[in-house]
Amino acid sequence: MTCRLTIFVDTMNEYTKVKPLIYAALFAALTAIGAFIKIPLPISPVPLTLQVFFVLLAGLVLGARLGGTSMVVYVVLGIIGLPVFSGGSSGLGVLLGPTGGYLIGFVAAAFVTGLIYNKAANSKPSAIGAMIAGLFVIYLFGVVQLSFIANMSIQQAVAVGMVPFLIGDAIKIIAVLIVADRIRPFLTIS
Amino acid sequence: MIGIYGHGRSYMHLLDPRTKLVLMAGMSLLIYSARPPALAILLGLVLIVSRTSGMTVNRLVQGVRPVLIFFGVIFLTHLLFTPGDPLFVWLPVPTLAGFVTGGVLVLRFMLLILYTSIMIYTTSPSGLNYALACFLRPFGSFGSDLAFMTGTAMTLLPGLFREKDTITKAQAARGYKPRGLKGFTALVVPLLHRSFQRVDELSDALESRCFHSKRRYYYYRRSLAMRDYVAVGVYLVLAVVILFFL
Repeated sequence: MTCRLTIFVDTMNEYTKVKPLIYAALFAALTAIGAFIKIPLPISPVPLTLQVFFVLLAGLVLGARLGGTSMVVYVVLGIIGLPVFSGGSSGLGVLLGPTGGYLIGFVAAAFVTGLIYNKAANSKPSAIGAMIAGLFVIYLFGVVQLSFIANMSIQQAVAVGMVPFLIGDAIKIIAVLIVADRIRPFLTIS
Repeated sequence: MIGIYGHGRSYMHLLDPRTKLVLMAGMSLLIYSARPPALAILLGLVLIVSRTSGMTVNRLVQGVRPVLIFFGVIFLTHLLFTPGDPLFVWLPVPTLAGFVTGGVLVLRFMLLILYTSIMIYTTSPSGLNYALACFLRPFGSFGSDLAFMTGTAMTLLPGLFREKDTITKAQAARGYKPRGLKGFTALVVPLLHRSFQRVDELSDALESRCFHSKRRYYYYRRSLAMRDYVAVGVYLVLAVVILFFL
């Protein structure tokens, strides 16, 4: 009888753990298909891809730890060979190559976004601030690895790996704000 | 979504995923630290290994194509901004030094992608997932949790793709154009809604079957075979030759 009781108590403690794991997996999968959803924009020649959108959304919706974990899962999906990195590339080589810093930045950005957003009150300005901080983290990692591995100066790396994407990122922040508001009622996690 | 993995029974296919992961990490060290003449050896080796594991040239090119534009930009930056002797006498910018540094760098990046695509071609995603979980074992339950999440994400992906196509068509039938912010929210909000429902069902199903995260997810074991040690040995010889004699 006692034995059965302890098992029951034990599984009750573990019960809470499965759902967050699966939500992290879901956001990893969403980020992966984000590389394939292309939205043509009337104002910019480069179509918007959505990885960064889901990175920021994961940070806002899942919080720091879980959001960061979901991005780790996304990077692992790419490493084990699913074509989920931008343009359909994959593998350890991408992570170690010139553009790998952005992928590491995704993990850090989801974490930072969740961290800043949770601490402040749930208001629009704090969400915008958190996402801008997240974007800054993505470019910090991305540009540093680019300049280090591709042997460029920091100015060159910023010109190649940051400036062309800034307009798209501003639009993505607005999109995250709209979408996060509308999906919050559906979310039953935690 | 087309995976890159191709089934086969070549030497590379039969190697343990863990060995291949370690070899890949080792090769990337070599690729970054090798002097330019040694890169020719690495390039020759990649062609031989891909040939013997049954990869066509098409497959190799497929792996490189997505990153080609960015590599081109890196090459151009070096070509145009490296000081030195000009390539053409009447123009100051494309310099010989820039051409060489840019070319060598892009060759290194290409090699990295080529070796990666051999690894991915010869190893199933679940095999690599298992190998990664093995290496993360020192981090406690995080390794098995990560393997579980990766496996779950892999099973969710095809359904999400189908869902995305269905919603795109449904919204187009309602007159939404897939352009701009409005078209975007019309696609993403239903996609998220549906996927949350699906994921809630999945986690309820798992929880009601007493699934919990401290359980072992992998009930099979693989042990290293002779060919794994041979492959690591060959790599070590190659590394010594490239690092000290070239």
